[in-house]
Amino acid sequence: MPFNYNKNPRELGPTIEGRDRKKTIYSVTVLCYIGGIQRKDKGGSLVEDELIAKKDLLEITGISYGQLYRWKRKQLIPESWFIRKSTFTGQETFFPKEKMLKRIQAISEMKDTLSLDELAERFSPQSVNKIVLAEHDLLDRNIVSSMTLHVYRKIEPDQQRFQFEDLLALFILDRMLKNGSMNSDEAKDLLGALKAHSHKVYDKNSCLYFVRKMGVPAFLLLAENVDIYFDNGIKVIDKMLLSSCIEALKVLIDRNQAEGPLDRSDQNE
Amino acid sequence: MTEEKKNLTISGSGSAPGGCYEDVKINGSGKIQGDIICKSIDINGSGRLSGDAKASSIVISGSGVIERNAIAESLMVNGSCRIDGNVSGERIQVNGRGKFNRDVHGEQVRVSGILTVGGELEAEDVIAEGPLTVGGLCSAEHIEITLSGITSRIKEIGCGTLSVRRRFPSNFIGQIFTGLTRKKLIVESIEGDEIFLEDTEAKVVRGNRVTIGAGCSIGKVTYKTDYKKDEKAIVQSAIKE
Repeated sequence: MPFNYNKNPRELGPTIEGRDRKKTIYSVTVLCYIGGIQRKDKGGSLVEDELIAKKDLLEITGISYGQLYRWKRKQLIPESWFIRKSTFTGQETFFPKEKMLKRIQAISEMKDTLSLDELAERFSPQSVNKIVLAEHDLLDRNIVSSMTLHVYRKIEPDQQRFQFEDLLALFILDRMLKNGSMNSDEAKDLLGALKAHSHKVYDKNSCLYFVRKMGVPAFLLLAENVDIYFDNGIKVIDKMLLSSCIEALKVLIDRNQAEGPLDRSDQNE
Repeated sequence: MTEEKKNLTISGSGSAPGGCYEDVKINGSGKIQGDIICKSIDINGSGRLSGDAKASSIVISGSGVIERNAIAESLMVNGSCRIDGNVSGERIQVNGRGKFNRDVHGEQVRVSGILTVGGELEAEDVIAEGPLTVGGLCSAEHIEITLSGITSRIKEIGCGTLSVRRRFPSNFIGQIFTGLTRKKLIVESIEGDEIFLEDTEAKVVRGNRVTIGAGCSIGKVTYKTDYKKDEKAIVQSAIKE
C-alpha cells in the first residue's frame, strides 16, 4: 500500500466522525489512520485527501511529463484531479495521491494491450451506462452478498435487469450494511436517494453522507466534495466518495468479465 | 427519412435560419440565426453564425464570427475569425487572424498568422509560425513555435517535445533590426520531455532533456538527463533531479 501512515502524527484521526467533520478538501496533510484500523472494507473511500505534488508523483511512478500531459489530453486523468496551489516556488499542481497512483498503475498495466482511446473509454464516467446485469450475475460476480440482495428484494421485488445505477446503489448498500453503520430498515431511504439522483452525479466528485440526528437517519448526496458543517446533534455515521465506489465497482465488473468470479477481497488491492 | 438536404447560399446581403444543410456558402454579408449542422461552411465575405456550428469543413476566407461552439473536421481561417465558444477540430489552420475565446481541442493545429486562444489549447501537434497567445495550458505531443511578429504569450506549456526557435530574417534590413525588435515568447511554466528554447522568458522549465538557447531568460530549470545552455542565455538556477 503506497501510504505513509505517519506523515503527520498530529493529524492522526481520532474517530471517523470527528475527522470527517473537520476535513478540508484542499488540505495537504489531512489523512492518516493508525495502522491498526482496518481500511479494507472502506475501499479507500474514507482516506482520499492526501495530495501529492506533480514532481513527486513523476518520481514515484517513473512517468514523464509528456506521458502525464498525453493522458490528460486523452482524458484518462480527470481535470478535477489537477489541483493548483501556490507554494513558495510558485504555483504547483497537486493530485489526490491514492486515486492518482491507482489510476497510473491501472493505465500502465493496460496500456500495452489497449489503445489510449480504449482506455479513455474505460475510465470515462459515461461508459458505465451500457452495463446491464441480471440477478444471478450479481451473486456470481460477488458484487453483492445474498443478504443485501434479500434486503433489496423486499423493496424492489420484481426487478430483473440491473442498470449501472442499480448496481451502484446495491454496491453501496452492501458496503454500508457490511460495515455495520446502517440497518436494513434504513436501506430503503438510501436506495431511494441513490436511484433518484446518483446518475446525475457520476462524473462529478460526488459524495454520499449518512447522518443521524436523535437516531433518525438521513442521506445527503453532494455533487461536489465540499466541506459541510452540521449542528452538534448530528452525527456523521458514514461518508463515501461515489467516484471511488464507481471505480471499485467497475473494476469488479471488468475483472469478473475477464476472468470469471473472483474473491471479493481482491478489489482493494 | 431520405430527405435531401438543401444547399444554402447567401450572395449579397441576407440572413437565414439555422438547421441542417448540405453546403452553406456566404458570399457577401450574411447572418445565420441558430445552430447549424451541415457538410461545409464557406464564408467568403463576412458571416455571422449566432449558434453552434457543426460541419465537416469550415472555411472562413473573409471575416467570420461564430458566437457559440464550432465543431469541424477541418477548420481553416484565411481571413479573420472570432469564435466565442469551444473549438474542436481535427485539423485547425489559421492563416490570418484567429481569436478563439475558449478552449481549443484539435489534432493538428497550424498557425501561420496570429492565433489567440482564451482557454486551453490541446492538440497532438501544434505548429505556429506566427504569434501564439494561449490564456491557459497549451498541451500537445509536439509543439513547434517559430517566433515572429509580436510577442507570444502562453501561460503554461505541457508537452512531449517543444521547440521554440527564432526566425532568421531573410533580408539585410531585417537583420539590422533584429536586435531592436527581438520577438520572444513569455511563459510561466514549461514542462515536457524534450525542450529546446530560444528567445524565451520563463519562470520555470522542467524536463528530461533541456536545451536553453540564445536569448532566453529562465528563472529555474530542473532536468533529469541532459542540460545544455547557450552562453547568451540567462538561467538563474539549474538543478538536476
